Amino acid sequence: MMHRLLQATAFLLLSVASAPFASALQFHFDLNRNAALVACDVHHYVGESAEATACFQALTDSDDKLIRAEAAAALGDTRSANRLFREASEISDDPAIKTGWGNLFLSTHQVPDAIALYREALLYDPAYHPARLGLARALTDTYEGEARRTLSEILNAEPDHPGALIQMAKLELERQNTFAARQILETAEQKLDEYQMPALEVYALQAAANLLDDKPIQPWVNKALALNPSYGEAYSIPAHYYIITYRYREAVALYQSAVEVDPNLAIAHRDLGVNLLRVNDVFGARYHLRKAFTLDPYDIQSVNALRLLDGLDKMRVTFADVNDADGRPLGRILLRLDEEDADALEPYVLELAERAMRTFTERYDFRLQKPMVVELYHDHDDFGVRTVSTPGIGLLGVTFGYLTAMDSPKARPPGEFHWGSTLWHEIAHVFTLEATNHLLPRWMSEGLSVYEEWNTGPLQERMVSFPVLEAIRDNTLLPIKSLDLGFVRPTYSGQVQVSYAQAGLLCDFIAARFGHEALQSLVKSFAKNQPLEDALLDAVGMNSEGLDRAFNEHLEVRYGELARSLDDYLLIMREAQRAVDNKDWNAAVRLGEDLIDRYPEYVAAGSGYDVLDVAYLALNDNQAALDNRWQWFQYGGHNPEALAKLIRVLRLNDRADDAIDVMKALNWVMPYGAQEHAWLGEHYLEQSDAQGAFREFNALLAISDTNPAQAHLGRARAAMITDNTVMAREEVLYALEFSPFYRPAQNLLLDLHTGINND
Amino acid sequence: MVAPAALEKTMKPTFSIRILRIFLLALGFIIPVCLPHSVAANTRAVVIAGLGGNVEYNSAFDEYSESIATALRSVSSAPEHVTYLVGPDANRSEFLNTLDSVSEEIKSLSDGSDAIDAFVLVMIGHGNMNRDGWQFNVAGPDVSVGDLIAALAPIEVANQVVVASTSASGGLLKPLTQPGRTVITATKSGGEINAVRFTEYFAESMNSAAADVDRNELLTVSEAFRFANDATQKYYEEQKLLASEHARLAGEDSVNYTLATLGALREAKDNPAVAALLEERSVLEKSFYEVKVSKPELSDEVYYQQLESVLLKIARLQKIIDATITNGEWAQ
Repeated sequence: MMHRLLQATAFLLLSVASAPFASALQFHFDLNRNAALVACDVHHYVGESAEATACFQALTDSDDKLIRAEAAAALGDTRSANRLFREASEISDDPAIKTGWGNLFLSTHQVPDAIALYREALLYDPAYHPARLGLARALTDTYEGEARRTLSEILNAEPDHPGALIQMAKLELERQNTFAARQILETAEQKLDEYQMPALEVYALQAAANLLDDKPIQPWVNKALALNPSYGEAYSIPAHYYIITYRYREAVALYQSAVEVDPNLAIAHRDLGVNLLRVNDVFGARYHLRKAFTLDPYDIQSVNALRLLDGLDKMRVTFADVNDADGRPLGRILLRLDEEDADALEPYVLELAERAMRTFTERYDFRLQKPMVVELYHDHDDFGVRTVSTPGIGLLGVTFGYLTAMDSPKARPPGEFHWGSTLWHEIAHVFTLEATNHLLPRWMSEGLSVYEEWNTGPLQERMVSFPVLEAIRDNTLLPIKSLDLGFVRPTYSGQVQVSYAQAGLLCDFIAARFGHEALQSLVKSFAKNQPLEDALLDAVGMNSEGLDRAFNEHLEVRYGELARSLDDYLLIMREAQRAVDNKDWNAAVRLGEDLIDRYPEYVAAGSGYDVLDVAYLALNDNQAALDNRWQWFQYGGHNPEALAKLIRVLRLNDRADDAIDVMKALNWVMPYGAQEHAWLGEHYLEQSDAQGAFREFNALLAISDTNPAQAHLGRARAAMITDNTVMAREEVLYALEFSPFYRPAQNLLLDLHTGINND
Repeated sequence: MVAPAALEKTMKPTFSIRILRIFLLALGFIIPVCLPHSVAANTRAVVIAGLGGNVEYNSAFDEYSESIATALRSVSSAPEHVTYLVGPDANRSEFLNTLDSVSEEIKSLSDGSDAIDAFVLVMIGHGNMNRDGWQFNVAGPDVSVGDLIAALAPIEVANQVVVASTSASGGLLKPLTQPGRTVITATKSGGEINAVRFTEYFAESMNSAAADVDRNELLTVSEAFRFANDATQKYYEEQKLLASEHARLAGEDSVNYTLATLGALREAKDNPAVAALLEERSVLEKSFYEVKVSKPELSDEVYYQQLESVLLKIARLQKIIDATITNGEWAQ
């Protein structure tokens, strides 16, 4: 099976070719590598491209198929290389063949096939380090733990293996353990001489360590360039560590230097393109992504990003300038929406974004220096490509400084996420990241966004999920100083979500105990790159351990009892569901009330409120059902179906104002309810609020794909509020053009005509 | 909006109008060249609710079929002209006997003033495909596609509508389609075998002002189909589910045939004064569609002037009709 798979991929490999030396420089840590190849490698390592090309070219006539394959691979002739590796592997069990073949697949971004080949090489010789090193490199991006174990296996056998040390240093740098990384790199550097290799990668990684420690990188970069003047990785390798610390503008500058040094470095063009997109330089991004694709057509990330750019051109772009209460300009919002979504979403996104800009400018005492770009994608995979160049990511929204991208409510089934809160969360990031030049620790950035969702956002619910309660109960929350690891290196499933909630609770606690000013103080300290402990001392007068203790005491008071009785709560939930299934309504009421008493903030599916809703309706106690659903709504319940039902019941009970509140809330979670837009529009017409009415009827028009008559009539009536009879006449004719017997439109037409005649 | 391919068969007018209608269909609008049949049309209908297989489906099928039967009574000259088979009566022999009787009845009335001018058959329930073709699941032996073809063959009415709102009903599309008959199926083929949601929305259309696109209170087959089809597609889209049903409409007369009256008109169907006014209205309605069809040939200004002129006449007349319905007398 695997063989067939490899053959299929091999066929793919035949179709295109890379430019020579377009891949990142590949070092061969193999003391048994053929001397002729090593001689060519030496030219390649020091940037003598012409000499390296001539040298490898000469080897393409070798009698040894492995040498010819390696030479073809180095020259970018993937088709020949692939054929030669396959032919060589058919007649020999030499693990170097499968390893070289794996390297070819890895260089063409076909990681699973590369992994399979390295594993096959290790079957021939379990002690063959080049294969194990290749395996570790292939595993690094997605299976960090396994990569670490694989490297340890090499280092156990050969503690100073420079290739393994360099890979290990990369893993340490990913965790921002610069001290450990530097020590490893120093050891690696000493050993490289033995392998006849320049310390290019070591210097680039030392530069990365400097970057993470906020020290100048240029001394290390210069050392690398002195060895190889076209070693673009001297810049692109450190640039990666700007990305993982969310400093995209700085990363862009380094990638630009990388492609200046080596204009053929495909991966740097790709990453430059991807990150130019993140800072909203669409034109520049397209140029570099095209360049990357030309140099390396195998890179699916470039292809995905280029396809996205084609779609980006078709999106609708609008903008709004936002002023503060005194009319002073605060900033500009650039909005990019899918055409399909734009009419329905635009007014809501703008309203929320404007409100967020005013709120956060004041709360963080920071005025945006550039326009804030907000993008909503109705296709989740487009959003994935927009953010990480890969579809299928499990995120709702991402902020890259001044640019926020997220799923539109159409990207997921109704009610799966509260898009208003997501947008609020992301815009909070825009402010906190930009106010600190992205120097905020991850936990603080996420914590502030969650805290703002809870305190100033469109959905101020504070429901803490069961895994968070379990973490409180089991004392597995991380201390503040290592809380970032919960986001970037989770050790158990669901830890990222737990860390979000923990960070939010922590910020909420700091604000409650020390005031919002304490959070502002932390933001300002981090902006000055102060260490965590100093920042905490300034803000809350205690170090991180002290704050951990105080926070845990707070959690104990707030959630301790609930967390300890969580198993009981879950049992009652199951019993309540069983009572509903058995139509034992009295038991359902008792159990539903018990659930709410224990945890009134729990409003998700299966909550006590849901149980009571079914039971009260079955018992024909409509008033109790309404009161129960209203209480659920007050606690932040936002299931769109339940909200829509609540709206109808409130209207039937003559609670029009309450119904309006629920309609407004519904729009932040599911803005495609035609009936709700129509009702809200009618409400604004009654209030003589033409702007509100236009917003609702515009949205209605956008989603009324079959009959827009009602929306046109609404717009006509809104125009009448502003005495714009010309527009009113146009709109009423549009309405009647679709529905010639639509009575309210007929009446307005007659009224307008009477008015004209009277005039 | 997917324009049902079969609708294109109604394009009999001149070449330029035909091109225009293709354009408008592409836009998702359907403009009737002829007007819907008047309310006074004499319809003979049979509605049958098949076997649900469980309490929920049985109850839902009964509810939907009853709603449709009630709506069809609004366009029949007598309540007994709508036969509604449900529960134990909804079995193969009763169903086929009913169709046989209807055929005889139509023949017997064909020369008189009570002549039936339209026949509607609505089948609600589950269906399946076997090697002999589609089968309708009813109490006892199922109704086969052969049974249906044989039973419908003797029915001699120029306008026929057959609605098969069942799983796998797409398997009926080819065998039943013939000139003068509009066929609606809930699925595109016999391979779509899951229970369908189309029925729920088709039944809903019978009482929905939203389905009545032109708001003339006359629900055409085309309007009912569009409403149900759009709602079904929207359901799958919103739920992010792969649609397991794709309704189809085949036939030549779907935009012309009225399935039900709505609103106040339903209450006033026996009022001769209203009938006379509706005849008058149909003349204006024809003018309205003539102006609409001429849109590409006119400047915007002239088009909307002409449209406004005829719409004002319609609006004034409609006020009179509404007052007549409300007050039971002519309102000048």
